[in-house]
Formats: sequence, C-alpha cells, structure tokens
Amino acid sequence: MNFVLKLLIKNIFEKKFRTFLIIFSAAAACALIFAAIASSSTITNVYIQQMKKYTGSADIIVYPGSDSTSPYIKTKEAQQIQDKLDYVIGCFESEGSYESDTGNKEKLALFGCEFEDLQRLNPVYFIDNKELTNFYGREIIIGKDFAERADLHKGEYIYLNINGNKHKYKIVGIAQPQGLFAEDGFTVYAVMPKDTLSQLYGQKGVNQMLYIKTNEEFSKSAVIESLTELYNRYEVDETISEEEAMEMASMLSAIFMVMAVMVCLMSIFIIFTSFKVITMERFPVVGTLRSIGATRLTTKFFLLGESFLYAIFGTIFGCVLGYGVLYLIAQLSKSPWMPPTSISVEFEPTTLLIAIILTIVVCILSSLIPINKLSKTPVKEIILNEIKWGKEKKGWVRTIIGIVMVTGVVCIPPICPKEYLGLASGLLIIFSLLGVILLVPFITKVLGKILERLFIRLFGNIGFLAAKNLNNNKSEMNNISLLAVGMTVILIVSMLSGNIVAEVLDFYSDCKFDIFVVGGNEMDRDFSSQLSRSRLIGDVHGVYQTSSVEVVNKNEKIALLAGIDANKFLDFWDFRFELSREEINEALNKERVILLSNVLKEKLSVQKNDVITLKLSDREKSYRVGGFFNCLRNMGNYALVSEKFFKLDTGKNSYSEMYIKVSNGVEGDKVVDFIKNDYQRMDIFIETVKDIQAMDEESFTNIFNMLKIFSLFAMLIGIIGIVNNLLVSFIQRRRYIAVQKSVGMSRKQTASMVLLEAISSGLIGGAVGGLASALSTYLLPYFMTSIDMYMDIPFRYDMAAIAVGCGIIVMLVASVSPALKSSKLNIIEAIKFE
Amino acid sequence: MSVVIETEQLNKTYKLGSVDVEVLKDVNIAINKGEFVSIMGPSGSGKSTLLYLIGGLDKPTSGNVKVNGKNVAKLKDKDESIMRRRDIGFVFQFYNLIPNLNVEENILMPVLLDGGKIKKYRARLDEILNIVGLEDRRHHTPRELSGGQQQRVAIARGLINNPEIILADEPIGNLDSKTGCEIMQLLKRINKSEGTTIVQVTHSSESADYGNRVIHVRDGRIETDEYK
Ligand SMILES: Nc1ncnc2c1ncn2[C@@H]1O[C@H](COP(=O)(O)OP(=O)(O)OP(=O)(O)O)[C@@H](O)[C@H]1O
Ligand SMILES: [Mg+2]
Repeated sequence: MNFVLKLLIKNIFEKKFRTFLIIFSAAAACALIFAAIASSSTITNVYIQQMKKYTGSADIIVYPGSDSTSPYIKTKEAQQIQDKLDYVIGCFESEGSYESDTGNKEKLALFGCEFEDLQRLNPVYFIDNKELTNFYGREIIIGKDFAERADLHKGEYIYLNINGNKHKYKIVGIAQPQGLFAEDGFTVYAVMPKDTLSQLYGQKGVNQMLYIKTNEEFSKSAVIESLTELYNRYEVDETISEEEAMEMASMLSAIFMVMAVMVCLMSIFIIFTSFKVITMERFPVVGTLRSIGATRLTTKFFLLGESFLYAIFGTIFGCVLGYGVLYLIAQLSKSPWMPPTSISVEFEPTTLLIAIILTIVVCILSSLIPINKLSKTPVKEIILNEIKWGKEKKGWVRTIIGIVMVTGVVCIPPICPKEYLGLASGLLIIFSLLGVILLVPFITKVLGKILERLFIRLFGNIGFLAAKNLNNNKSEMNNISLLAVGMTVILIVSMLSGNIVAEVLDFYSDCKFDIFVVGGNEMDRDFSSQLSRSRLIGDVHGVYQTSSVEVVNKNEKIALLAGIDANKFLDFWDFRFELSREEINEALNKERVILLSNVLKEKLSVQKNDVITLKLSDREKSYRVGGFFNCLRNMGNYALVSEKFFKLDTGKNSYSEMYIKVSNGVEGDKVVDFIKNDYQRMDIFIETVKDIQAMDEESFTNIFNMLKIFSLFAMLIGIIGIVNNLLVSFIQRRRYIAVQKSVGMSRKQTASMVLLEAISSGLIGGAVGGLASALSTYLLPYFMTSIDMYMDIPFRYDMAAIAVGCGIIVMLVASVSPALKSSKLNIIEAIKFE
Repeated sequence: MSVVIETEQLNKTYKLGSVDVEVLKDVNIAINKGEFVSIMGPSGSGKSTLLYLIGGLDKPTSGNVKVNGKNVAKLKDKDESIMRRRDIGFVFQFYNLIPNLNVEENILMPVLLDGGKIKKYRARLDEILNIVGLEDRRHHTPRELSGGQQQRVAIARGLINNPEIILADEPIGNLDSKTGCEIMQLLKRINKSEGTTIVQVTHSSESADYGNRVIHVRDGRIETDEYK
C-alpha cells in the first residue's frame, strides 16, 4: 500500500499544470459554493450593521406619534417590564447648525444622552483612545470627519446655533467614525449630555425617544406587544427590520447560488475530462498493478485516491479563497461611509462543512465515471492499451437527451406552479446548460459543415482542413463546451446588470419632475402651498402613501399604496395607463376604486371590476379594481387610489412624498439647498431626481460587482481549462500533425490551420454559449419572479457579439503556443516516439 | 537513365549530452529513376535516418542530399513542403492517416495542401482508388479500416500527385504476411506502371525481393549495394 501511495504522489506532481487546473477547479467550486451560501448571513449582517448607525444595539424604539398628547416620553412605563429588558435609554434629540469662520454652514444632529447610556447603546471610541470620565454641562463630543472639516480640536470651544440662539460648548472628545459618528452623507451627529440639550427647550428629565433592548431570554415580539399597551398613544417600532435585511440578502444569495452552480459545472467538466486523460495515462501503471495481482478494487482505490487528494487540496485552497470572496462581497455590500474594519464576515461552521463535502463529492463523482470504465476493462486490453473511449454509436442518444432537456427547459416554466418556480427555474438554468453541453457534438457537426464551406472560400483548403478537424475532436468539443459555459455565466451577469441598471434609469424616466421629497409626518398642505408660492418652484404635488397593505383572502400584499390627486399625479408621473386621464379622474373620485400595476394584477390574479378588500388601519375596506397600468416604481409593485378615500380609510394627514418641478431655468440643486436651509427643522429627505438616480446606480453597481466576482471565476477556469485542453490536444495530435507535415504541410500552413481551428471553435463555442445564454435570459425572469422581482431580460445581441469576439480572441491567444509548437514540430520525433 | 536521388558524403550525428552518436557515416548512393530499392540492415543501423534525410524530414550534419538535382537541405521550408507534396510520397509503419478525415480526404491531402481544387482530381482519385482497390471504402474513416487497408490509403495518398519518388519506412512491418504481400505487389505494380521510383526500408528479404536493388546498411555505412 505504501508503494501505491508513493506512486500516487508521484503521479500528481508529474503534470504540474494539470494538477493546478484540477485543484483550482475544485477550489473555485468550493469557494463559490461556500461564498454563495454564506453571503446571505454576511450581507444581512452588513445591512444590520449599517442600520445600527441610528439605533445602535437597541432593538425597539418608542417615540411620540401624531396621537400623542405630549411631544415627550417618559421611561416610567417601560420600567414596569424592566425584568424583560436589558436597558431602557431615553434620549433627547435636536438639531443645531455650525457656522465656520469662512461662513460655511453645516447642520448637526444633536443627540442628547448620558455617556454611560451611549456606551451601551452605540459605543463611542475616541481618536486619542482616552476614556471620558465625566460628561456634564456644556460639553460636546463631535466626530472625527466633522472635526477635520471644521478644523476643531479637543479642548476647543464650538459655537452652535440651536433653537434660534447661539451657544458655546467645550469639545471634550473627538470620536472615531464608527457607529453614530460614521458619516453617511445624510446626518452628522454630535453628542451632548441629555439635560444640557433638553434645557434649551425648557425641559428637564424628559426624552424624545426611548431606545430599548430586549433581554435575550424574552421574545422581542412579546415585549413589543406589552410596550404597545403601556405606551398606547405612542409609536412602538422594531429598530431594524431584520427580515427586510434578510430578504434582500437571500435574494442576492439566490442569484449567487445559481452562478456558483454554473461555475461548479465548469469545474465538474474540467475534472471529468482531466480524469479521462489521467486514467488513460495510468493504463501502464494500472495494467502492471493488475497483472501483478491487484484487484479491481485496489486499482479503483488507487485512482479514486488521486481524485480524493485533489479534492483535499482543492478544499483547503477553496476555503481560503471562499473567505476572500465573502470578504469582497461584504465590502461591496456596505455603504462607502462604513469603515472596512467595521465589516465582519459571518458564516456558520456548517456552511463550511457543506462546501467541503460538496467539493469532495464533486471531485469523486466527476472522476468516478472514467475510473469505473477503466477498472471494468479486462487486464489484457489495459496492457495492450486497447481501451476504447466514447463510442460513436451513442452520439445520437446524447443528442436526444440534450434536445429533451432543452425542450423541457423551454416548456416547464410557464406551467410550473408558482410556489416551486424559484427552485424549478434555478434548476432549469442548470439543466439548460447541461442540455446545451450534451448538444455540443451535434451542433459542432452541423456548424462544422457550414464552416467547412465558408472557410474553404475564405481561407482555402487549409480552412477546410481546420473546420474538418473539429469533427469528433474531443478536446475541441471540450473547449467549445468550456467556452460556452464561461460565456453564458459572463453574459448572464452582464445582461442582468445591464438590464437592471437600465430599468433603474427607466424608473426615473417615468418621473416628470425634478426633486423628490420624502417626509416623516410633517409635510402637509401648508408646506406644499408655501413651496408652490416660491419663485424657484414651478409645481408641487404631494401623495399619501402606506406600505405593505394586506389584501384580505389573498396571499400577497400591496407593497406600496398611494392616495393621489389623479388630476395632478399624471403630470408628475409618466405611468402607462389603459384609461384616459378623464376616465381615471372620474373612476377614482366617484367611489372606492383602485388602480393596480400589471405586476399586482398578476400577483393578485384579478380582473377589471373585481372587488378586493384591503386592510387599512385595522379596518377592512373594499375597493373595485378600476384598471391597470405599467410602472417601474417599486419593482412595479404599486397601486393607486384617490387621496379622498385614502385619507378617510387610513386617517393619514401628511404627505409621504412630494414631487417638485422647478421653475424654468432654475437649477434643481439650488432649490434643494434652499428648501434644506429654510426648513432645517423639518425631518425630510430631499434630493434631485438626478442625484437619487446616481445613488441608486452606485448601489446597483456594487451588487453587480459582486456578481462579477463569480463571472471572473468562470472566466479564469474557462481560460485555464482551454489552455490545458489545447496542450493535451497538441500532445495527442502531434503525430497526425507530423504526418500532415510529411506529406507537405508547410510551417505557415500548420500554424494557420491551428489558428483557424481556434477561430472555428471560438465561433461554435460562441454560438453554443449564445444559445445557452438565450435560454438563461428566458429562465431568469421566472427565477426573479420567485424572489419578487419583475422584469424582462431582453437578449442583448450586442453583448453576445462582443462575447463571441472575446471568445475567439481567447481561443486564438491560447492557441498561439500550440500553433508555434506545431509549426516547429520535429516530424521524426513526433512519429517515432510514444 | 537519370539520377533522381543522390547523396554525397552524407553524415548524421546526434548529440546525446556530451557524446556524439554517429548514425550515418559518409553515405554515398545514387538512385535512378524507376528503381525499386530496398534498404536493409540490423535495427539501429540508420536505415530510417537515411530515408528521412532523403525526404528532407531531417537535416544532415554534413554532406548533401539531392533530389532531382535540388539540394534538399538548402531548401526553404516552403519549397521543401512543395517538394514533399509533389515529388515525394511518404509511407510510414504507423499512424499514417488523419483520423477525422475520410479515405478520400486523406488521399487528397497533398492536393489540398497544394491549394488544388478537389473537383479537378476526381478522375485521378478514382484511378488511384482503383489501383489500391478501395473504391468501395472512399467515405470511410481510418478507424473503420483494417491495418492493410489503412496502409493502402497511405500509399494512395503518396501517389495522388503523381510523384517521382515513394519513400516507405517498413510499410508492411505492422501487417500479417498475406496483407504484406498484397501491399508489396501493389508497390511493385505502381513501380512498373507509373515508373515511380520506390525506396523502402524493410527487415524481410521476401519483401526486398520485390525490388531490383538491395542496399545493406550496417553501423551507418553502406555495407553492400547489389542489383538483382
Ligand atoms: N533523436 C535521436 N537522438 C539520438 N539518437 C538517435 C535519434 N534518432 C535516432 N537515433 C539513433 O540513431 C540510430 C539509428 O536510428 P534509426 O531509426 O535510423 O535506426 P533503424 O535502422 O531505422 O532501426 P530500426 O530497424 O529499429 O527501425 C539509432 O542507434 C538511434 O539510437
Ligand atoms: Mg527504422
């Protein structure tokens, strides 16, 4: 056995490039599967971290709402259930503005809080690493970034304009940009002792907001319930909806998973084809082993042991690589303002275990078929090197299986029940790839015939020979398959990202206004008319909105419901309605009528004039479906009712969103600055549509950069695999090339033949890849539907053409060395040896 | 009679590390048009090397090989290739055919490489298939043929361009004696009817009997050179 082991290790180190290729393929499979599974928890974690800027470690917040009698809140009631809570922290929040010597104004969010409380809620770390022992009176802590901008230092004084008066505070600490002090481009915080701040408003010992953390032993929802009772006139909210974060993360992770499986397919393919070659090379050894009495089982173990060793090395590198990929994903999913150190990679040990086991299974399984074949071969044939691979007779079986698979891929999604659609379409994407790979010999044969004709015209007889050489050529088929799968992965990623970015842009093309305002509870009619009186502003429209509206007896929710003034709304949004403006106006105002987006029409499966019951403010209200429209807002999950009924049914009195058209010749940014300045105390978010669009684009770019990591792997494996195939193929073909040279093929002809072969397999690979990605673009919308994204992904011919071009270039570049080697081939040596 | 192949003081030395292996030493032979020469000798004596040097597959260390008066070693790659397409047909012991081309395409290989149109060679192809007796196998691929049939295809390929010379390295070394006989008869017939000069390397004196001249090589030197 010792001898066998030594032999094994010698075998592995004999062919370094191939060993590298197999281990890299296994490692990539391991890494991507690991990263795809773990990405869900990592991204969730990142999102939560990000949201923690505002709420720290608290999981519940309580604050005065519109029903409250007082703008303040006491901790007394919460103390009644203190045993269930880790802490209740009351804070006073306000705003101030800082004006530098040069006249630059900056708005500061003032957070009034005791220092010990702050350390529990959202710990502050000072840049000088000193502790703060006493935080009292006219003292303030500011963030590092702000301090640098304003050129302020510890121990200095800062003058702030608060509530109309100027006040002086001593800077007692400068905080690291973490937690509260991480700048996100929206809010810049400064912390003061609570009473110092509340006294400015003539209050002492009151809070504006309670931050609460549930004790781990109690359920959060039960605590929320009791708090809702205790503070019945206040708003009780979960700080961050963990579910929301998880939903977003699992959506991404599902897409990653499909990508990872595709790359795994490439790995399996490479390991499988490599093992065919390996087993062939091991004939002599296996033959000898068998002839000296080794059983079939021993020889099988001998070869399986080899694949197991590759798997072990693959998983070791794969885990490291996977961690790296995960780290990249985490970095890309965080907002730019978060410091890289604040990001941690989160995964369960079981995830790692799953990835490792999967990788080993992948390695063993993909080597098992060739190994089984070898161990079944009689000793005599092995010794005489007579084993026959790939029986041509079975070619048509392969083709038929391929056709059946592709047909299934096309036919199943439309008839698949919705609850299985996600899984089914995910699997079908993989099946479409498998099916297309099975069809490669057939497609090659057909396209080869066409290329023969074409090439003989274009390049003469050498072109004809090159095209001929594709027929039944195993390594060319392998190259075509690898190229096709690699191309598909890359094309899917680019088409998907191209399309989503385009849709994001499209969404804003629905906007017929310049500025978008989102408000808390303070945007009312007054505000709206004040704005519209401004010289800078052309027109203003406010809508009432509520999210996640339950539809009684349906399993789906309306993600966003808006109460609109139909007359005006159509001037601000360019939705595509079936009805005319007059019809909409009339329908909405007469009775309770709802207009649904086509996406909702599908989801709720309703027809025009059906009646649906909505749960609004705990009361059920029936609306008649008045018509449908197409929009990109909120992924198309949007419904409209008239503002009259909306206000009646929800009791809402303030606008959720306002849209502003600026006057002719006025710049949007100016108007934004003006409103920000004049309505400083209002809690609103205001940006120009252009800026929002840019922000959105950036966040999508990050998501697609994550996907690009996966396509990068596909590309790397593809290219390395192709180079390896070409080398193997060169070794196998050198005799035949020598024969061709002996009957008069010149060096130039040899080189051009090899390069033309590269071009033709690039073309065929491109065609196959095109077919596979067309199937994927057909399947992806179904897949996306299951994760609640609705979009068509049009097949992009321009991208496909570029991909084919790149494929040909890759093939050509990878063929340069074999072409040179072939043309310089020493005929005698090639014919004499081996 | 005109001389088609001529070697002058032909030497071939292989360097194996620091040792020089002298494979051919001062070989001088002249072969006339239409001759059927058999080169014989013990294994390792340099027979194949001599044949390859004549065909320009390898370069001599010193001395000259002239085919039709042209110095083979001095030809450029292109002209050398052209010489192999038009003037010389090669037949090896193994691996003679391209597996993914059928019989016709294999035979037409030199024509294809010469840029010729396949259509123009229809008649010639039929004629040659007739000579080698493979009319009914023209669309088969090499793996569907027996060893003897494969060798006949190789010979047919050697003939397609009507070359003056056929160089064959143990053409029947891998075949049973009956098939070997058939191949030798075929070569003989070609030699007679087309006037093709044939130089073969062989280990069997029976096959040497088909020719008119036998050259014995030993340790890289011509030992005997006899006409029958
Ligand atoms: N590339 C090479 N490097 C070193 N020595 C070589 C090389 N090729 C051939 N030789 C040597 O040249 C000598 C002649 O080889 P050659 O192939 O011509 O013999 P042969 O007469 O054809 O023998 P056989 O009947 O076995 O085919 C041999 O001793 C061989 O070892
Ligand atoms: Mg020899």
